[in-house]
Amino acid sequence: MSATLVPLPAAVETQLRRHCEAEYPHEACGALIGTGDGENQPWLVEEIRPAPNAHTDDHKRRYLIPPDFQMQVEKYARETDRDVVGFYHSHPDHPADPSEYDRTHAWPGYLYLICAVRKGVSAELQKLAIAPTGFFCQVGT
Amino acid sequence: MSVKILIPTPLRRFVDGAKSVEVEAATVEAALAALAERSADLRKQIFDDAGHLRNFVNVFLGDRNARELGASLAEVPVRDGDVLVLIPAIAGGAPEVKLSREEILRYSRHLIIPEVTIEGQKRLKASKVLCIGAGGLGSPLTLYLAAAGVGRIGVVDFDTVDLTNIQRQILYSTGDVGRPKVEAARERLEALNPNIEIVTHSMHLASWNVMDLFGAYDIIADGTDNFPTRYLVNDACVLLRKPNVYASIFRFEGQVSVFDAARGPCYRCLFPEPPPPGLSPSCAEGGVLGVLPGIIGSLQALEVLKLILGVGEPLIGRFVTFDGLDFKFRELSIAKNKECAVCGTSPTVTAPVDYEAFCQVRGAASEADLGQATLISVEDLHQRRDAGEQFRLLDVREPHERKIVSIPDSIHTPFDELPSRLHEFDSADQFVVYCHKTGRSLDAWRLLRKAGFGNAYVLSGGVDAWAQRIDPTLPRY
Repeated sequence: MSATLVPLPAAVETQLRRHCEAEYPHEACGALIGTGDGENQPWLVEEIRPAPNAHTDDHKRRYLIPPDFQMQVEKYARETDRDVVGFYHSHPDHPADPSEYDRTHAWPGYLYLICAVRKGVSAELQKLAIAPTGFFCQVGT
Repeated sequence: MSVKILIPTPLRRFVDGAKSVEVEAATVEAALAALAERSADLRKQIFDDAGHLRNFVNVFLGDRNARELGASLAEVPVRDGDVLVLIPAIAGGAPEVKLSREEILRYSRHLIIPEVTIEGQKRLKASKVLCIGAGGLGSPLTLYLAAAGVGRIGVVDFDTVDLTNIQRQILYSTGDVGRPKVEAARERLEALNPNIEIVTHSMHLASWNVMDLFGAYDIIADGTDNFPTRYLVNDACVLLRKPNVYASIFRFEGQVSVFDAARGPCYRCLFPEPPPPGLSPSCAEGGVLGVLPGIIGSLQALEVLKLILGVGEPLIGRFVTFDGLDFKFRELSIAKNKECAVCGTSPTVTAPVDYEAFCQVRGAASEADLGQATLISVEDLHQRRDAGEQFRLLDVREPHERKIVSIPDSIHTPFDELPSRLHEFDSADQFVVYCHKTGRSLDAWRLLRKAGFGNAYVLSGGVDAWAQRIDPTLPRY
């Protein structure tokens, strides 16, 4: 698979990391707004929208983006002529590798960013998408 | 009714990249069915075999979740010009706790016990235990928790390893003398079990750092040796709702309990106030048989493991004492005190307080508040003796201590006997009082001063300082 993205703008990445650090030790999650589809046109993430974590399980290990929130973000993106291109979440005190749970809940066509946060400090940031095989692959620039 | 359906990015591939699709339908369900007609792949993606919208796809009518507008989507009508939005459910999370093949082999004796099994072992790996004190109790405690595979063990200790420690603190070796305890502890524990994380906290626990420190752990195990810290640990655990596995030792006796304010009494319920200073000596003064903390610290580890695994009967509401000499375990039933200052119905302690003040501790006696004039250094004493000065040197230690070492030409009056033996002395004479270090001699000095002995001095540092600086041929203990 050859999904690609434009390198994350510095301001976007900083905001994402700050949010992930702020939610530690819980998982942070949010939407990515921008353009592109990864294949015909590289993804360009222009904005992020931090989301509340609506998962009923342990928030240190699970996240769920509330549908109402998502609805609002979709509307906002549409009104500004852009799309929700994907989502991000953090892994507190875990590597940024996607879990089986991540994989089974992932949608082909979205860009997924996972940020590791170790003891409150953001670390590696992985950029992933679901390949036709159904497994995650790295998204290059 | 002509309805527009907005297609989210992941589903556009099924409709030739279209961002929206127009359909004719009278209900939400009919609109979605019409959409599914466009593509078999799309139908499979968003509908189950029974033709219902899968629960990981939400559909919004305007700003409202359509599932909330009727008992089923077939009962939600749509009007001309309505807009339906498909929203894929987005969820995920961190990886599960996994055990490697090495770990499965390592813990095999755990995995085959019905009360543990691989689930329990994973729970151990996912748990975080903070051990306060890496001394007599902390040694067996941390060793057994590490061996059992507790995933993160925090060790709090500010001390360096001293030769007098190794008689009981089996976490350390002779070569560790002089090293910070947490460093030597980490090395030893990591060598025992490389699969776990040891976090060192070389710090004094205090009111301003305890809440943050404890917040990162699930269970606290208190192996400290002083009252201010015990109350500090207890209060923080109650406030943070974390269990406190408590143990203490003295000579041949030990105590264990689990203070979990959510399910039973806390330490303050049992001991609302600390004993008067001086009544409970530390190991340096009171002594302890080395194996005793080994036994009690292991019992402490047992209770921690039981709490994590959720098996057996934890010592909540039960205070167990062990007497090593007559080999008797005694159990006291303790109840939550409704008037407890920290865990009662109307608590007065809602944040960590000044525990030194609470325990009225300023050392068993403070050198500072007696003033300079009453102290005499070992060098001074030595000089005055050489110069032929006349005074009585009073040794107020226990007989068994005197057998180890003493300063030459001293009179022995054990502290407890002093009041009844004062009549043997002339209050006009000059007296210099000494003990092992300084604690008891200060108390003895007060006694002498009260009894009218105006010329009394305290030998600062006691026989220990004399053996260090004046006559190094003498043993220290």
